[in-house]
Amino acid sequence: MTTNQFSRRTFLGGTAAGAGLLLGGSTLITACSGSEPAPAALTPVNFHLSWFDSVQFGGSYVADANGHYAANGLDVTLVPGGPGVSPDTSVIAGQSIMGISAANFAGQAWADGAPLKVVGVAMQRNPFVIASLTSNPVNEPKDLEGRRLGMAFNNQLDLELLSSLNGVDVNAIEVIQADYDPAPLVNGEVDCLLCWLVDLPVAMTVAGIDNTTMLFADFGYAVHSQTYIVTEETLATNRETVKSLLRGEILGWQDHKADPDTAAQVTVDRFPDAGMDLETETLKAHEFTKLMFSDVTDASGFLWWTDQSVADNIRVLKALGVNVTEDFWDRSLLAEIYADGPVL
Amino acid sequence: MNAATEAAADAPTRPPGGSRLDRVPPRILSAAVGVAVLLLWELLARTVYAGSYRLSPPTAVVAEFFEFRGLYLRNLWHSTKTAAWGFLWGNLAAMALAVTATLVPWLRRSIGAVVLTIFCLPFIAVAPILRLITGPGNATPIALSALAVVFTTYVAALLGFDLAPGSALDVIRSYGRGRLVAFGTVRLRASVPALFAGLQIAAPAAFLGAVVGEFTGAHRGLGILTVRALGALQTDRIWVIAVLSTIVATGGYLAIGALGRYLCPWSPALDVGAVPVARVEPGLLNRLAGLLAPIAVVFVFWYAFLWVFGIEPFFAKTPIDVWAELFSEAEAAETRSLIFGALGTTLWTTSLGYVVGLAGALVTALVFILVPWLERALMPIAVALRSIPIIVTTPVIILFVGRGLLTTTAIVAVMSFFPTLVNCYTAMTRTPEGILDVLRSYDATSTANVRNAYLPTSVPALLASARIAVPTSLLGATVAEWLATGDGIGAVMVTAFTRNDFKILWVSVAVLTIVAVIGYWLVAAFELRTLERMAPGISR
Repeated sequence: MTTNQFSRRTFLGGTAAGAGLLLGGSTLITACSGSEPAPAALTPVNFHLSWFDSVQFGGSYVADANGHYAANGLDVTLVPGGPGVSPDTSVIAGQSIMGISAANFAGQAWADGAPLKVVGVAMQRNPFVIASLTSNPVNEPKDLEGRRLGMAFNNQLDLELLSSLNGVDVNAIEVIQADYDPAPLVNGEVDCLLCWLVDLPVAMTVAGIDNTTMLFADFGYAVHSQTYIVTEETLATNRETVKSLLRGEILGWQDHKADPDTAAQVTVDRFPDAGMDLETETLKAHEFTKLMFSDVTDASGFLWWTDQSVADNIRVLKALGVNVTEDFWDRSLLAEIYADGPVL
Repeated sequence: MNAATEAAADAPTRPPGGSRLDRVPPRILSAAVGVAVLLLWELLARTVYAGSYRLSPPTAVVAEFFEFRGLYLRNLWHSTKTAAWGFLWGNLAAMALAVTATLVPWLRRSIGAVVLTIFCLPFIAVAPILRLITGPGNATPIALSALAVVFTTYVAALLGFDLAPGSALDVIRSYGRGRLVAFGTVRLRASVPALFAGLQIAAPAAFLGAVVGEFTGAHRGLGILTVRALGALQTDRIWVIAVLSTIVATGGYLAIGALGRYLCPWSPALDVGAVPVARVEPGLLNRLAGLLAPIAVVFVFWYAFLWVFGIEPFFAKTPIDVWAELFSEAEAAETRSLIFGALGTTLWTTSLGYVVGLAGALVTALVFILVPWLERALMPIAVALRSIPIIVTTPVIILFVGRGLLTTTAIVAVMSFFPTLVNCYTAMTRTPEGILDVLRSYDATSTANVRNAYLPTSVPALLASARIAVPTSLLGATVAEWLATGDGIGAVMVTAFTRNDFKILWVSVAVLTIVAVIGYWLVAAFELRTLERMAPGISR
């Protein structure tokens, strides 16, 4: 966090910055919550997260709190996302040097000609699940038939893909719009929900409601999630800065893995206005650690991915109507970062 | 209070009351209804909805607020501050435009077209595009908030300037002074009542803009807190936010009304929703120019917008791009069927809600006229409800209607109902006493009174409300489709920006805006014809 994010970081020329300041009279006030002004030597960068402030980005907050970004010469502003914004656009427009997206969203932009590259994959196993009440469980895709499923309408393609991968008749599933909200399931308006593993199910668990989750990734749905994306231009002109940012991230997530409880505490303390509950966030921090670290990362380092997973992604994304090739992924930065082994 | 309750003070215009309840002071009646509503709410929450994560009892809402009051007040402060900045900038811009339109009359029609177009833009698709221009920070919520108030304030200010007494303007002219002096000495002062009526409507609109703006990424605010609470099964929290938003939006509405009356105690309260549409000059050539010039200006603004902000081609789509996407590209037919199919759904559900809302409002206004004690008990609540942001009403409507196509209809109906009710009722209370005297001397029944006096006097207000309700209904529908139903053009727009499909996004924005503008003008044309026929010369 820095003092004058707006005038310094805007990607536009003078006119737009002027207009922005005119509109953003209070930007100066809101932008400077948090830490003290950084020393001049640090390079300021924006890193666009994919959702509101959340323990999902716990490693990044730990990186900031433990000084890993500063140690790599960066003054990082962690820009929050939300349902009305796409980190991909922020990256393509040059407002953020790096963003967090998913292979299907960023892949669509790539297929449409946006010069994006994936340089890191935090969730190699996609976090989509079908959550249900344990008393009326959905254990496998076939169980979806004849059930009422609550989901956000823009997950229709994902549902169709899961169905076709597992021989499920998608027309036999009754879809009801339900977004960011487990209440329809708990209240019996639907039988199951399409959501993230580490989100609504945790909320239900904390509320004492027994629930069952079926992970998409266990049924052929191979789509990289929480992927770190940059533009080709950034890679060509600013490669070292991206590497520094990735290094800071990796160090932060290594700390997170070693101590998820502290990561949750750091997150809750950092955002007093979010009304987060420490117990819930701690539970989530542990779940996220499980999603983000695997045999692959143990062997090759955090954010690493395998050639096999790229092949799987290309195949699954094609079925989703998103045509990407191996060129969409670039592992060379991680290869350089991890030259001396999988732990920094 | 506002126009309605103030009008209620002019007792002679009301029909003679028959019920004993008419002698109960309005405050006591309102308080009684309020207490009854709270008791019913508490009862429902403790019985029918007990254990469900839908309805929180008022006692739990109050307890939740006090337990986390710091959290709520900080977030409330943030959203209110954002809305206040947007309110300030939006209204300044509106005032500047209204002044320009008054001093340079030949610009009036073009400015009006641009301002109307802004009013008709679908918020939920504009938000991500604004975010693209402003980058991270609070500028997008402030800008959205500002855009939300420009139209109504512009219309109000313009009306105010025009209401300047002709005799005073003649005096200025006879001294050989020009428009500028006339403006500074007469028009500015004359505009105060109408202006404040406009600012009243702007307050809740600014708040809605701020909350939608938060969805494009922010660290705090009531909009974000709502999304978090929904995901975390914190039902009490959702209801605290709903109550706080209602209090702030209504408080802003009432405070501005009070300020307006303090500054201008001599003048009657006005309602901008009931401003008649401006007349078009006769003659085919004038009509054509009047139609084409504003359209041209809007397109010039479109290009200027893209050029000034230097938006990259991946995001920026020109009118030609949109046309190509719809009619000449390889996948044009597919695009058309997607957009127009979704638009069909939206228009169907919206127009149903629109008609139900307007008709319901008219009937309720008549009931209020005929049963005065009911009006005194319920009207203050209606005034409050009309300023509640739709983001807050949506979860409540889902509670009662569920999540289907009907949800959109219900939300649109609610959005058009309250402003129309207040406008129509106010107009009915201003029924000329002479007409009522005549009817009374004939011992007319209440049905005859309704047919011959109240209904005709409410027509201008009804039509003006119907016109303003076109864009607001579509705004409500797209927000409902986003948050509740996942149908229609609202869903198409949200899917488009999450998938970075800016072509579909711009096409949706363009098509929906054009539909809203056309709808507005159709109602305006009907309004003009009806008013001319009913009372030639009254419409300006």
